[in-house]
Amino acid sequence: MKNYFLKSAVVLFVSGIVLQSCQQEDTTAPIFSSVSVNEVLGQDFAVMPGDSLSVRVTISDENSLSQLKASIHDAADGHGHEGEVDTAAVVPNVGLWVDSRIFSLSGSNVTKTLNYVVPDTIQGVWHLEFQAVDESGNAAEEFVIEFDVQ
Amino acid sequence: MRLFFLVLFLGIGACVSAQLHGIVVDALTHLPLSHAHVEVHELNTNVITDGKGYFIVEEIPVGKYHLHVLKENYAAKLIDFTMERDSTTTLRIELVSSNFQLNEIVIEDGTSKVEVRRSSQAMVSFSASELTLSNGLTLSDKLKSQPGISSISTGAGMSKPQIRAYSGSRCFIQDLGMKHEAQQWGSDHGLEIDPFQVENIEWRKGAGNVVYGSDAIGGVLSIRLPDVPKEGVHGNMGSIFQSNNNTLGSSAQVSIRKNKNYFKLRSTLMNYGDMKLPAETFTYLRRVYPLAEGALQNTAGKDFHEQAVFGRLLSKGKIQLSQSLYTQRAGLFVGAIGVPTVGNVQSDGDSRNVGFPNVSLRHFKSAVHFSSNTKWGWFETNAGVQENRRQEFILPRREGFQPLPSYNVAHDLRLRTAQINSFLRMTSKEGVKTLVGLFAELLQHSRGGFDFLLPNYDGAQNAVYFQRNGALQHRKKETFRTVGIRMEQGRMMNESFRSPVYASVDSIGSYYVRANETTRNFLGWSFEIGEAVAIREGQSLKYSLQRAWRMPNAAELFINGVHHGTFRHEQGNAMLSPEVGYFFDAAYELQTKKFRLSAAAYAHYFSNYIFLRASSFYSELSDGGQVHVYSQDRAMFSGGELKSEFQLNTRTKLEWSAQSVFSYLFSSGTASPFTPPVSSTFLFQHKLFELKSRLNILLEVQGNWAAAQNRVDRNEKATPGYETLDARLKVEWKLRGITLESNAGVNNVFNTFYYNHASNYRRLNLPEMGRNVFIQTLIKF
Repeated sequence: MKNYFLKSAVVLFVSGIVLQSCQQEDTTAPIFSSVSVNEVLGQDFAVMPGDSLSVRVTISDENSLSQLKASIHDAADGHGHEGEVDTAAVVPNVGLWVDSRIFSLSGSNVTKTLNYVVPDTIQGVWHLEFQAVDESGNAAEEFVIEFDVQ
Repeated sequence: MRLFFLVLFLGIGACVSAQLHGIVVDALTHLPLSHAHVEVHELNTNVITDGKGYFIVEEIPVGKYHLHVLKENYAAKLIDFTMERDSTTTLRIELVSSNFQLNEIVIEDGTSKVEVRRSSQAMVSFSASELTLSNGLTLSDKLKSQPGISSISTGAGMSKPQIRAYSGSRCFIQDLGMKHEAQQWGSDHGLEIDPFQVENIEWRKGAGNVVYGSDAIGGVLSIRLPDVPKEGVHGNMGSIFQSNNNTLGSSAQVSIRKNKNYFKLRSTLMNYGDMKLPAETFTYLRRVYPLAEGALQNTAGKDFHEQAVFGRLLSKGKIQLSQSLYTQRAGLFVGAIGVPTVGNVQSDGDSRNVGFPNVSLRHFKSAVHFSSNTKWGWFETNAGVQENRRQEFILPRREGFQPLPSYNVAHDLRLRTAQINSFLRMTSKEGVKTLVGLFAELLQHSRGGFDFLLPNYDGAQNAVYFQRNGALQHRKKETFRTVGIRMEQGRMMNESFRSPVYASVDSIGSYYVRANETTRNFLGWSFEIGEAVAIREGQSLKYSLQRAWRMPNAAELFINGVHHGTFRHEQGNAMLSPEVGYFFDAAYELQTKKFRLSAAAYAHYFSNYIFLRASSFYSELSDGGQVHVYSQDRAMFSGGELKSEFQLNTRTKLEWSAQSVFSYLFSSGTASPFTPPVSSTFLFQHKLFELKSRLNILLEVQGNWAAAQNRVDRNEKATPGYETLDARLKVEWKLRGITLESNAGVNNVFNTFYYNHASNYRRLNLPEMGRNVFIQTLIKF
């Protein structure tokens, strides 16, 4: 019986070493290589109601990308985003601007162009937030653009 | 089944009781020992020796029993004896003085009653005093001082135990003899058991599937049945104060026994305010918000619990009826339920009110315990019903063009269960202990509220089990072998559910299918074989091999919605297979006059471990973020615990403990989420003052260290390491039959900023509590 237990323990131990050599999934998150608005790189833009915005976003991954989510939300409460903390209080926004789109992606390097028109009736601060995941479920660090609608 | 009970009850013959007399003496001096506790364990009957060391236990039915004998500064003793018909049995019990009280020797498995000496798995026990006076508000928090147990917490009042790397449906909690059934699938859901009600709790290290069933794959925490009280009227009162969130709690119990009848009543009330943290900001789905006034706004709450126990000692055993009700009304941190705004995480000026969002919990249990000494052995039945209701109240919000709900109940989850566990415990003339049992359970779950997580479902589980524990006579060293097998069958059936997707304010465009009607049948088996070897005096070794089988739970199969408690969209998989694990566990114990060491190590391999995997797609629901889908993968968990105690002299003791868990998901090569980091504690204990065993004042200083946890799951945040220091004074004062025990001190003396890797709030970048002054008292009369 003792031998039986010892053998079992050795099998478990060896399997622990062997598993290190198993083929594994990608665990590296995709990254936003570049994001531009009307061909200008940056994260803070002053825009006017009625402006047309052409947002070009490039994402890359070691293997294969799966989805891109782009959403616009009210940022007048002063919240910041991870890595870009900005919690200064702002005057409440005028009007509503809400938009959420999910795009399916394929390949390891994708450039997507999204077109927006700033609503005529708004004024204040909004965030355009980009999120991306790859086929293995690794999530990219988000990329946020702030629009100051004047 | 009916035949089984018929045969069993026919075996219960007429009974004649006898009397047990005895004397407890010091093994060296042979002087009598007063105030030693003598317990006939099968009957839960306690007596205390008088001034001359004598004790009498009246009216014990004929049969085989064992006694637990405990006395301060002596090693506890365990004695087997047989009561003959119309006889008086007299015992002389010699206790050996010891620096360690060694209560562990009388620990035994709650169901099989196999003592730790014979068990192939290590066991640890916590008494009511230890729990009442230990740190924390919840039972999980109080248990986490033990290496190998940690706690997954959500604020101050909600936490659940994590045994090694396992939690939720992988931890079997036994309460009032029954499997505790709450909404345990949610890592943010608390345990819903009053820590004051626990008279004794035992942790069996390693899987306990054979005796306890599918959910015991990660470990068993068994709350012992309420003890039979001593003759007369007795009681105890406990209280707790905690400065951080202004917790005020009190609990009182009264017990009355007259001859064979007894009654116990406990009532507990806990009231706490918003929790304060040493932080200025927090993060929700990567958005950063200020933490107003350094407090988790709206985390105040009120807990109420009552438990009533009625019992009668029968001529051959006992019957006990217990009812308990646990309720909690607690605020949920505004910043953790849906995407917050800076405005709604501001302070409302009242740190004790419960606003929106909040949760209302109600857990009702009604149980009957029956035990009888039959001609084949002890027959025991534990049966009962439970109702668990969880309501989450959130201010109404619309999903797209959906009309605004006219009520505040986001989720109303109601789980009703009924279960019975009957077993026969036999002991042969050679001392071989055999356990044969049957288990059956029915589950019924209904849902309500404007949000969706789990559909209505029904479930059933049945099992038959066998375990044998006996000495191996041919071995040179005293060796006990345990062999057991369990066959289990289960069924889960859910209703379909569709939520409307509005194309405009007044028209439904399509339906989002949240759950399809499904029926799943499961059949599986668990097996265990292990040995306990007494290597030499004061040294023992245990090892066991198990095949453990676990049926997927309802959430793993059917959940589909935004689970606000974990800040993500969780999706079940109705096609999951039962989880199968192969476990190796070992434990070693060394005991000398001044030194004690216990070590445990384990390696567990799962061929299809069920876990929430980050998917490659986003939720269509608002606040949903990335969808997490229940998936299966090969996985391995290994690690160990170490605890050493060194009694420097009669006044000073040092204690060092450490734990480590390694988890590995084969396909990704990552760790399992919430894997606790390597951690260690060092305790210095010094008796400052002692007055003839009437007054004891003890100083304790404890250093806590945790390594950084960088082995994390996909998208999980790494957590930096930390060091903290706690200090406390423990006072015990005995006066005319009244005992006062008190524990007062400071946790996190230096107000250290640190994260708990196993906290749900870690994802919000929220640290643990800062400096916290506490006072806990327990008065027994």
